[in-house]
Amino acid sequence: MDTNKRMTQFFARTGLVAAGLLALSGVALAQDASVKGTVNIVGFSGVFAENYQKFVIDPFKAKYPDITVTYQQSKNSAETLALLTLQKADPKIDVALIDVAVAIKAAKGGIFAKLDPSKVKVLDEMPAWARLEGDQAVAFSQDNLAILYNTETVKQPPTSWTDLADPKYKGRIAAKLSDTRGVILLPILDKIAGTDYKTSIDPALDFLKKMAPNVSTWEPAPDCYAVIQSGEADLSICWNGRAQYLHDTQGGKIGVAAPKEGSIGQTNTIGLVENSKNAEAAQLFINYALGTEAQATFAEKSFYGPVNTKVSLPDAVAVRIYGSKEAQAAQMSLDWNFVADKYAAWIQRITREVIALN
Amino acid sequence: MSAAPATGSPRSGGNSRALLLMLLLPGLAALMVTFLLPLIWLLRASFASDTTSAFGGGDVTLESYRAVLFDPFYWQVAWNTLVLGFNVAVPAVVLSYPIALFLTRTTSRFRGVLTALAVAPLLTSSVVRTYGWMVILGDRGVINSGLQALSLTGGPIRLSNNSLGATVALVEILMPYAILAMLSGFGRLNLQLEEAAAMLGANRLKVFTRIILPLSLPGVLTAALLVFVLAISSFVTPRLMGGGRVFVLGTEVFNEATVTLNWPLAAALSVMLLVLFSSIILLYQRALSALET
Repeated sequence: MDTNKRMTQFFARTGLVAAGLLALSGVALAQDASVKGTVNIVGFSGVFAENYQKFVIDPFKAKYPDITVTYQQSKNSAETLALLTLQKADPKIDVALIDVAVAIKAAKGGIFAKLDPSKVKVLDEMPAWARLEGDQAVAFSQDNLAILYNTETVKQPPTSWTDLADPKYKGRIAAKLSDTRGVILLPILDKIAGTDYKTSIDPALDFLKKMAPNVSTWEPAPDCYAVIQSGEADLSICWNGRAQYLHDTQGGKIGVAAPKEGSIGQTNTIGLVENSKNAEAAQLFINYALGTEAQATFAEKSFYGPVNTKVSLPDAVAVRIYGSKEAQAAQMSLDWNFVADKYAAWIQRITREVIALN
Repeated sequence: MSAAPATGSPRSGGNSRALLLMLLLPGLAALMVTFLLPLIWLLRASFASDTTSAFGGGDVTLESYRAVLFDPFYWQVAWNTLVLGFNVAVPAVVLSYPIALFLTRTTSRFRGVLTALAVAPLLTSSVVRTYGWMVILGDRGVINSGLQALSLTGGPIRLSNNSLGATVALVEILMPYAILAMLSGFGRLNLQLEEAAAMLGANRLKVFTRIILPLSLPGVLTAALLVFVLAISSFVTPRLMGGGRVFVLGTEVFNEATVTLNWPLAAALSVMLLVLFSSIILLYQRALSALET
């Protein structure tokens, strides 16, 4: 219908004089118009959804007006996985944005289809660590773990992860560590202690035990940002992207300290749902979402680090995503296949050896 | 009165039983769909071998039960849950008893209003009330800042983010249930018995311990059971008020289901909670009926 309207307009404007031109542009149109349909996406909610709509989906739709894109918000990746599992026989979703650890689990459970490199050409530009389970899920953003602080009560922001164990913060830290935050913090702390996370996580757990007396709550409510905003805690261990956004929109009460030892990003992945009825259009979308244009804009607006290797960020943006040059150089990425395997076991150790005993 | 038997007598025996069954049918069907089916599904999920696919994929295995039953941590969690239930039920009943007793015996014309007030907290979500308690008991909450303003304490004393906070909040949140249960259970209280006892020389304490308390006991025990069951199945309040330090079956089920995504294990823990429930209710009912005879 949309096409018809455009065609009529086109005729009206150019008339028959442009018949030759029409033939030419007809070819150009056919290329875009050959892919029609709908891409149904399920992904993260809240500000992420707003930004994703504005800076990835809308530009895509401008490029491919014949493709309709719907976005369904999901509370968390567990819920997304539940939804995809329920629809396994007859998927209503074509593309899922989902946490890397959950994505690997989903891929192993046959939820995702392998991407076709001839259709998602941009795969060439993605680093090896980002292409998971044979391209069943591809990392598209990294949201760094950071230390957030209340700018009114903390005059000298922490500069190092080791500051978290400083006795001056006794009872002033809010740290939810029994999830991906803890799983990412362990390799960071291991590196500081000079250990490889693939060998042992004991040094990291030892540090957490030293930090434990400083922690007032292991379950910040409603979340790790609000407790800083309200003054309930001075420091909190949480995600950079949302904190930067809240810093800009809520009067700068939340400050972000990106520790000099560098950090690791919570990695979000994009995946094509197995047996998707719109696989063609969906892969076109994935190709766009992983491309330099979408990656650069989304990084700049949401402060989520890009994954595409061809993207280079302006300095001002890089500082707010990764921190100082020193921190940028120390930025790490994880072997997510390894980590996904250890995910539950690591959380169990944090819960039982650190949280339950403090 | 006179018309009722006339219409009632022809429909006796099997006919009325069939009618009764038909009347019960919609309710039974609703129960089947909303209660029994999910329960069967839960049971199936707890025996699933495939943790990567949800909702009972793969072969039938006892693996999740083995993981739960042979792990001392989960026994500790189950014990914590029972202790929390007990610690909540006792104060909730003790605090609610005078209120319920007053509401039963008062002849005030405001009785209806007062009863409504007593159960009014049920109109707000327990999440909201939990947040209320966080404001009161937090490190910078009303109590701590009050104590510090009066120079009674140097720093904040930890009233929330631990099991104390969770217990206090749960007691308040579950008190309306206790009051309601007692109000309906106090039907046997009889003013004439008390008057008779007083006339025979019993003082007020004796009237209370010998007449009022025994007669109100069934109501008290029902209330205690209700609060206990609600407390051990609670999840929101222990999670929000416990600061991650309160490990009960409810919070563990949530973690296994949403964080580590081990749905069979979460299902097995739920079944464990269910078994705990039913055995306690069963024992309690036995004790209660023994008491009443």
